[in-house]
Amino acid sequence: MNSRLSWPARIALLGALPAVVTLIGMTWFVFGQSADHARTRLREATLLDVSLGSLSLRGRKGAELAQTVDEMATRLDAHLILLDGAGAFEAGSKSARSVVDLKALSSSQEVAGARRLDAALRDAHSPGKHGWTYAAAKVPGSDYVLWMGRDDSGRVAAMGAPVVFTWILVLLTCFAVLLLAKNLARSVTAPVSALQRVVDSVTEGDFSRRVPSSEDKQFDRLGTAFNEMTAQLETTLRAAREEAAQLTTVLEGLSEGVIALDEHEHVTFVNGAARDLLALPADPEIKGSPFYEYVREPRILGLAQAVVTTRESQQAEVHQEGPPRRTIQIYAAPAFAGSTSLIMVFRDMSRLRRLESMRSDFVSNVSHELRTPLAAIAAAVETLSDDEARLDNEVGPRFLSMIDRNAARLEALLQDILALSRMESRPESLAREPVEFGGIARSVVEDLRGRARRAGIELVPPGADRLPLLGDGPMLYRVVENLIVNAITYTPEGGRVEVKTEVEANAAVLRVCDTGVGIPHASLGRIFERFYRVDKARSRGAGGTGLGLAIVKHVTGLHGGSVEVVSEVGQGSTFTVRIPLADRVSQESS
Amino acid sequence: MNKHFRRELEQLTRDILVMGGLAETAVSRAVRSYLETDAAAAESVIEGDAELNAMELRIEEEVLKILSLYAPTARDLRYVVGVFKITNDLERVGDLAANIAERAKLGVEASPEAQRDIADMAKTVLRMFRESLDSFVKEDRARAEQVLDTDDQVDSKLSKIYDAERKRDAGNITETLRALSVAKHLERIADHATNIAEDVIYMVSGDVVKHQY
Repeated sequence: MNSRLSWPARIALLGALPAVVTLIGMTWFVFGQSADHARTRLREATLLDVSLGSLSLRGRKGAELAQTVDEMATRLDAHLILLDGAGAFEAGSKSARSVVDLKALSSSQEVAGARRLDAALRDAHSPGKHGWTYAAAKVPGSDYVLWMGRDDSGRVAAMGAPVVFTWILVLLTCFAVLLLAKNLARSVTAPVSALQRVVDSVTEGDFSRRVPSSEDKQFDRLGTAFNEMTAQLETTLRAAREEAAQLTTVLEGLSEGVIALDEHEHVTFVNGAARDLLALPADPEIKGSPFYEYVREPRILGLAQAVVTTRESQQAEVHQEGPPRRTIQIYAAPAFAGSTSLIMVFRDMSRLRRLESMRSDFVSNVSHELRTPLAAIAAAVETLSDDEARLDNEVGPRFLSMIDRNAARLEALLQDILALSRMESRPESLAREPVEFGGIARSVVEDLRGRARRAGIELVPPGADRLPLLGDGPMLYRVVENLIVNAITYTPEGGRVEVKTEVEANAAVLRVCDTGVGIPHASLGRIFERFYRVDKARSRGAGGTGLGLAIVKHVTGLHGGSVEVVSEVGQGSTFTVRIPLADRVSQESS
Repeated sequence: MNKHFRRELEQLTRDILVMGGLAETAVSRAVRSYLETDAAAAESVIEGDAELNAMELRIEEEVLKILSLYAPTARDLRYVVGVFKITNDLERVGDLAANIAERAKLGVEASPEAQRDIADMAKTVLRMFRESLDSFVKEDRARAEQVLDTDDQVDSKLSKIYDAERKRDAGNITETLRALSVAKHLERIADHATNIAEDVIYMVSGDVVKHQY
């Protein structure tokens, strides 16, 4: 459209050109004809003039002849020369001698023709004489020849003036015709151009423009249809954009990492979780870059390639060395059926795997802990089934007490497990009543005094602080009991267990310090795990279910508090329990 | 030829990065196996070294193929040669990781101080190693130069560990020797990262900075 003619111009040219050509051709022809005609008439006039002139010279002689020739030259506006029979100059108008060469004149074509045929005519060809006509005629009754030379160019020009004017008129008409045709064509193509412009802007993404209504019914219908289509397109596109934005929001919010790759393994989308999980940089840097530049994990890249080659979804679990160490489950699939672009979903399985292993550990621990007393009971029962042993004064009671002891241990274990599971599944089952933690601690110490004495350990009771709390009395009793029993158990004879209470930053604080064996550094972080034993052989011998500290941690946690431990091997340990005080309750009770 | 050549280069980049990923994992797993006395992890590092060795051979073959088939020039030539050199470094890093894992397999727990120092040093070395590969990928001279600067930190960390171990009342000489050898291996891994960074600078700009830092 740029280098070629516009549509209207082309239509105009195509339509009007034949007319224009015909018009110009016809004018040409007519003028050609009439110019020839005019020329012929001019020559005829010249021939007639010279013939008539020769007639009027008949019978004249001498000076009269010369005067007549002169007068005639003036009248006819021509140069005249009279030649005698020998071709010598007889008479002539004043200027005639300068016009023509006399010597050549007598032998010229027109003079020779005149002598032969009475009159002859010739167009001038010599330079500077264009438009001149030469004629000659024999004077009747003598052998004189009258020669005439006349410049007709002025007359020809006078006849040509209307020709030029007409030509201008014709050309103007042609131009007008072309212009008209173009305008006409444009009025036809205008709706098409309007449509074209709107189509262009829609292509560029601007949906605001509409095709104007047209006078032509068909174009109007086309325009309306196009407008409707554009409106629909706009709605659809907007919906698609909104959907895409929504999808992006959803994907960004997912806890699973999502990455989309194009067919060259270049990243097209990454959500926040994927960035965190794979330690990827922010969007503008990674988008469009090859995936392998950022994630160099061979298993992940291999999975992506497997999807590209098989065009089927793949799944794998990858252990990331970290830090932090992670187990990542990856699901990779073609973006759509048969596509080589793909979508990868990353799920951090570390927590789940840890929970799974904890659960299986728990089950195996529980069964192990249950089996030991059960085996003891079974052995005792088997021994006692023998009459002799049962009736023996020494063996009988010993095995009965063994059964009793192990049954008690089983019960304690079951109770601990139940307490833990109840707290876990229904934290709300814990009572929230006003209790006095200091009192609870003192009563626990009172109840364990005998046990401490039997173990040869000095048990120092806490002071008389009042520590009002909202909580579950029996469970808090359990917390203090577990801590003190542990301290007594792991402190050698002659040692000392001190229980202290105080108020610190709006929290009730209970400290149980012992001078026992202490806990190795490596184990410090794990002693609150269920069934964790620092020294497996020793602890079970010392009794206890292996759940005591787990219960302590749980109960304090449910009371909004915390428990921590400081310990040095061979020096002893200090367990500190902190539980927030209930201000309101303390005011009421005091 | 151009298109094929580009594809081959892309594949080469991909392979060297995968190899780098393997080496990185090997190092961090080896260090972890030492710190946590995890014999199974140590074993997997030692076994994984074979894969790294195989990759080195494969990449070298690929490089030779590209050199003979396409006769690259200027920057492309430097790139291909750079890859060739980096492969060697990566393979050596894999060997060093395996060496660390060998020590870890013997299952001697390090002292808490040595553990802390080595974990700290390993963190720096791993970051350096990762950065050197990043600078390679991004053909980023500034990043490569940063790696060269970090090497001094690693050296001073190593001498700090030496000093600490010397001053400490060495109750267990095996434990001390092991910690020192692990630290030394880490320092050499850092040296390989430095080599890679130097190769990257040569690759990007054609400047030789070897033996200047």
